[in-house]
Amino acid sequence: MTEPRRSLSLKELGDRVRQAQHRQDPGGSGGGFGNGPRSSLGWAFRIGVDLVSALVVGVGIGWFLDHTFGTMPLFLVLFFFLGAAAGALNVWRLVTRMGMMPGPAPEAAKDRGPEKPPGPEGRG
Amino acid sequence: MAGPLEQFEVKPLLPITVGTTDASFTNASLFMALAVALVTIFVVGGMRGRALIPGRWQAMTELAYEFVAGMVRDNVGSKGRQYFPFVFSLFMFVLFGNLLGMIPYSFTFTSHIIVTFALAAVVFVLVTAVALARHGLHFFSYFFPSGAPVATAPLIIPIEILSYLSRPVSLSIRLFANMMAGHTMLKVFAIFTVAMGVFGVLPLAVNVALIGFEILVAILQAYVFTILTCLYLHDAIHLH
Repeated sequence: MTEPRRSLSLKELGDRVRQAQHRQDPGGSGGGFGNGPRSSLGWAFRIGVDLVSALVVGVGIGWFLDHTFGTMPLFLVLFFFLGAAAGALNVWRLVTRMGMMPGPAPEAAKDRGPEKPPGPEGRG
Repeated sequence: MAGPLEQFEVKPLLPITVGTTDASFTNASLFMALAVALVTIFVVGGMRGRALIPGRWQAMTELAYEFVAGMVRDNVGSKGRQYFPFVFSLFMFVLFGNLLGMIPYSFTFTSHIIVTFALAAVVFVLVTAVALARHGLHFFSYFFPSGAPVATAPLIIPIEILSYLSRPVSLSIRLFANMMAGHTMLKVFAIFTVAMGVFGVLPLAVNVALIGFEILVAILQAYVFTILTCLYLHDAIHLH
């Protein structure tokens, strides 16, 4: 501190408090994806798990319903396909969020942070 | 010689039976308690001095705090700050569980799917409760994207619900599979080392590299678990 000591006016104090608060909490809704460096193997594993887990849940629900109502193959088959679709949806969401999708992906561009305009630089 | 999967065996240390339920204090319980105790010592002990210029220990504690706080800020947004204690506890518990498992002769509780599934279920229930509390019945619009033709609702809604229900499953499988696969691999190469005599140097070298890799995986998977929790919280607060 080189400036001479003086008591701060209330307005200056208010400004400083606001600055400190902004540093603590810059606001915004977040939603940026984990932006650390990631190996392609890690991505492959994530996509694989996301694809399979929905299928597992679907088959589980289908089997449970069949087991309860005694309609053995009906719900199992139905929820197998629904689970497979949900798995594909999971992968689609994940890949879109990564910004690896060609064509317009407004949701992905929005998710990647407000400061970046949607544009071709998000594609990898 | 012990098989590669024997390290995952849950052994009761202190047999306790509540009614007909086996509630023994097992080696898994021991390491969970140890992880909680170590996290508490790490955080409370590190911040005991409250120095303006932190020492080594306090710097580590502050680093952990800042890391998770930044993660919550970047991924959930400013409304997510009130969930920071939960996210921080979750991260530290998983991280210490993973890292404790890297100590020889210890037990890795995160390599059991029931443990990771219980953690993921807590996250799932909390996220759903947050979404319901914040948005009320409007939360259910999450399962039907706006703008889709109403005629597709019978197909889209079950698929969206299944996709939502698959979150805790994928969250738990990811952590459990990574930890279990890594520890099994370490043990397999250790068995090769013993069985191959002089040539055991080769698998030993592989094991040295693998242990480094496993420490990376231990930290990375704790990070991934936490960041996905943050993303789910973000979805719950903002509903897209």
